[in-house]
Amino acid sequence: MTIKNNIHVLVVDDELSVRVSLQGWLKKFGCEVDVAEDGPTALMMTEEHLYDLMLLDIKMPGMSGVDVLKKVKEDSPGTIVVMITAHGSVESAVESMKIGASDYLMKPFDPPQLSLLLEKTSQQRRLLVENRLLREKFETRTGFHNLIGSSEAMNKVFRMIRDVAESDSSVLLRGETGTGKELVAKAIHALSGRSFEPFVAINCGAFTENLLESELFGYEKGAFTGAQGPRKGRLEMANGGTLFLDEVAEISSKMQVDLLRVLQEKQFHRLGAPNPIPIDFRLISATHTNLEERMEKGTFRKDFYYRVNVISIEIPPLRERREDIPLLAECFLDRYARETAKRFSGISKDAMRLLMEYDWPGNVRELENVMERAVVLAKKAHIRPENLPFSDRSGQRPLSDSSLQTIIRDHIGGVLEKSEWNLSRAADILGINRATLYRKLRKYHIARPVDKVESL
Amino acid sequence: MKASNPADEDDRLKTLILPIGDSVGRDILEIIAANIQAHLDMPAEILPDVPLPPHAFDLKRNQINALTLLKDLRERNFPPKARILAVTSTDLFIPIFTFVFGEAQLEEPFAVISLCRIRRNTDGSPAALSVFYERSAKIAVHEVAHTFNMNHCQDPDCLMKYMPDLDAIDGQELIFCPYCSRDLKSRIESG
Repeated sequence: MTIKNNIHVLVVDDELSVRVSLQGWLKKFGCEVDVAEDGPTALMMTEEHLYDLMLLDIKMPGMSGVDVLKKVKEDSPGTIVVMITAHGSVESAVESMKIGASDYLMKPFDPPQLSLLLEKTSQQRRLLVENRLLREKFETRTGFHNLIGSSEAMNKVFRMIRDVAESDSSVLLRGETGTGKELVAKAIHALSGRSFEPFVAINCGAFTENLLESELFGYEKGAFTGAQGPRKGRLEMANGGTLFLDEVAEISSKMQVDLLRVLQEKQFHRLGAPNPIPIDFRLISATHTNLEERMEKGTFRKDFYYRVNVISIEIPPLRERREDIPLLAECFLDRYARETAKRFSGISKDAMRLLMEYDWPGNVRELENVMERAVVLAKKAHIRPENLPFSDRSGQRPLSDSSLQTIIRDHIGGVLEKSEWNLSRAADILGINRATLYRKLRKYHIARPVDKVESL
Repeated sequence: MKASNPADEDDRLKTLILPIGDSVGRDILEIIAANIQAHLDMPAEILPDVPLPPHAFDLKRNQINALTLLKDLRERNFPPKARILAVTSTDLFIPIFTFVFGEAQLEEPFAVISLCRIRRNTDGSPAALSVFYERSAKIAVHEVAHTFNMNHCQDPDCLMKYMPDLDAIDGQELIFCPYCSRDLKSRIESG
């Protein structure tokens, strides 16, 4: 059967006859072959494609093969590089082996040498694929039920998940948007004794009060205008399993009372139904807001709070576990590369530095979106800074430890300085009216420097 | 160099065997023709010999540059559907290799084989005539198959496998694996 080894080879040699003969010879082995006549061209091509094998002449005018090798080993460590050398340059060949070349061939060489090399490359390629699969397995081990992270902060979360999974207590997950609260809820469910029963999630913030009521409790035919037939609610669907209430802080006080009753009595009524339905589920809630503050303001009921918050798990924002960013970014790169059938050799050092320095207000979800976008936009074999949406603004920005209040105060102060403390002009620039600006000056204790007070 | 050999006007698919120089014996040319007819199921004709283009001979290496010779063949006039198999007694090389038994570039109708290295055994002793004939036939059929865009084959018992040395050639029967056989047949039928 015709060989289709799918090995992508780049032949780099300044001699046309060498390029032509190697290209013709390799094609008969089913290889996809590109050629480059000098180092810079070869490096441009390695940015565009991911090569399995590079046959690289050591002695070329301009950039030497050794210099090309150094760059290739830095950017595409997976490419197997074999140096082609003449009699006089064996020392360079040995030096190349120290830098990372896999082998060298002294030209002219016997045809069997090259066929053996191809066989070796094929095997090495298989090993690389195997290695990638094992790494993926390892990554799922460094993660936990689709939650990825090897930081101490995440390990603490994983331990908590294991500890609470077996109990039936209600769990409250706290964390910023995009930290993976639903994944944590799913992990708890998966490790619990209810794992073979349904996991039913509902985003309470996405429904109006009436809709949320019918969505949760279900209804009988004629319960309200438009209820043309009976329908099961999420509570009923979750029977035996886990109910996940996302954005629990958005539930109205009336609905909190209704749910509290369900939790206490372990039964509920479909809307419009006379008879109660017994129900058994584990409740996991999530919020990104401060429920204690809501309680103080009276918008969140104390009794409901204590019912949903038997065990609380805090999920750290990404900026507090930066050491997980490379692992997460590589994981998303692999995922989206597979989905788009693109081949990538990795994330460049500069791009990774940007990813590490960014503050990630949208957390893991934002990182995932950024990597998905980068995979779609990337034209080269690496994810580079220009593929990242914040490359032009926050690239060199030092990390800010400032609180939001400090940033607002500094910004208003800066605008006032710029407008020479002309409050009308400053309010215009800030896009607020004078009264609001006055309030903010009071709130943030912004005062005009003493030497300029006279002109205020 | 145009039309130095009698260009055949008919456009039937066939292999034209072109001896390079006058040192290639008629007997071996006829054996090659017969094997091409038998194994590729297409007519094979022997053309009058032509002199070796001087620029194809590398004086330093004392070998013919196969790529230069193939380039020279491209500039000659041949019937449109014909496959051209050049046969030489001189040793062949392509620039990066020490030698080759034969050479054909995919997507081109030209191939060249050398009888130089197959006249002797690995230990340097003269090969028996029957062995020499067999080797010639195998290399010729293999290279002509390349002109139909056939790649090398991974089946160790197929004539299209890569045969880097005499042991590999001698250990191979003159048969294709079922996949290559079917593939080659359909390529030959479609011209």
